[in-house]
Amino acid sequence: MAFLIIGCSPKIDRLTAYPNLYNEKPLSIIVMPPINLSTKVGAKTSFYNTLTMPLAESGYYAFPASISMLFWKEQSAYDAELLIDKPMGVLNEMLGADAVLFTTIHSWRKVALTSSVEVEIEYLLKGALSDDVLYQRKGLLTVQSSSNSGSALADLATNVIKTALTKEVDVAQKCNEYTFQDMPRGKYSPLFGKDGTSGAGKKEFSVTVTQ
Amino acid sequence: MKKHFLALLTICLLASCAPQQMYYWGDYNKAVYDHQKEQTESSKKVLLKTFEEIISKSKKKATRKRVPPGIYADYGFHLLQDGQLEKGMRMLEKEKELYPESEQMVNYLMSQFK
Repeated sequence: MAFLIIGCSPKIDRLTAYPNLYNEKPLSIIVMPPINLSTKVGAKTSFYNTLTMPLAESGYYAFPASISMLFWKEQSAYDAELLIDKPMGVLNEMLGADAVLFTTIHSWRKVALTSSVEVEIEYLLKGALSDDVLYQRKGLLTVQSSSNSGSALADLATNVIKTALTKEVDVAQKCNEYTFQDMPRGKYSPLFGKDGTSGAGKKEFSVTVTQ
Repeated sequence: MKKHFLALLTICLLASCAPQQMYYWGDYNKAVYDHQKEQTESSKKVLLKTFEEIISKSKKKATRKRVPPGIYADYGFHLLQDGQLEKGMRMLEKEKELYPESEQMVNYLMSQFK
C-alpha cells in the first residue's frame, strides 16, 4: 500500500484540530451505516464494513459492523440521515458506546481514462454522551492503481488488472486509511495522549491515493 | 536512473512513515465483504475460517499481540447464526474478558439468541 502524500507540512497540530477528542477520550466507537448520496449502490456496504479496522488500528474499540447492523435493524435505525442531528445518549445507555461515527458518501465515480475511482466522503465522530463533534474531515479522494503509467493507451492494455485492483471494498479501505491517519490515537495505542503536537491534516482535503 | 531514484525514495519514505499494524487481520475485510455479498455456505465457511486464523495467529503477529477488538464477538455472532450456540457464547465471553468495554454490546447480542 502506498500513499501519495500531498501537502506534507501540516499547519496545525491535533490538539488544536480535535480538542474535544482529547477531552472526552472515547474508547468504544459504534459505526452508523453510511449515508449514501452517491449513485453507487454498493458504496454503503463497502464503507460500512471497512470502517472498524482502521479505528481499531488507531487504538479504539470499534464494535463489529455485523453486530451493530443487527442492532440498527432491530431499532429500525438503518437510515443514519434521520439520526445524525439527534442526541446519541441512547447508544451509550444500550450498548455502552462512547462515540458514534457517521459517514456521508457525497459522490463515487469511476474515471475511465485513468482507471481510477473518485470518492467524496465526509467523516463525523460524535460523542455519545456530549453530542459534541470529536473529529470531522471531508475528502475528495482519487484512488488509483500503482500500475497506472500516465499514458491512457498503455494503461488500456493493462486495464483488466487495474479493474481488479480497484474493487469497491479496496477503494473504501484506502479512503478510510488515508483519512484516519491524523486521528488522535485511542487508548490501545502506544501514542495515546502523546500525539497532541503531531500534525493534523486539513479538515477539507483533496488527495490521490495509490494502491 | 531518475525512475530508480524515485522508487528508492518512495520506499524510504514508506519505511519511515508507515507504522506497523497493531493487530493481525488476515483476510478479514475481504471475507466479511464476500460473505455479505454472497451469503452462501462456502462464503460462510471462508469467513469462519478467517476468524479462526486471526485468533490463532494474533498472539505472534503485529505489535499488540492480541486478538483484535471485536474479532471474538464477530466470530461468536457468526457461530450463533450458524446454530453453534455453545461455542458462539464462549467466544462472546472471551470478547468481554479481553475488552471489558464490550460488555453491554455483547450482553445485548447474547439476549438476541436466548
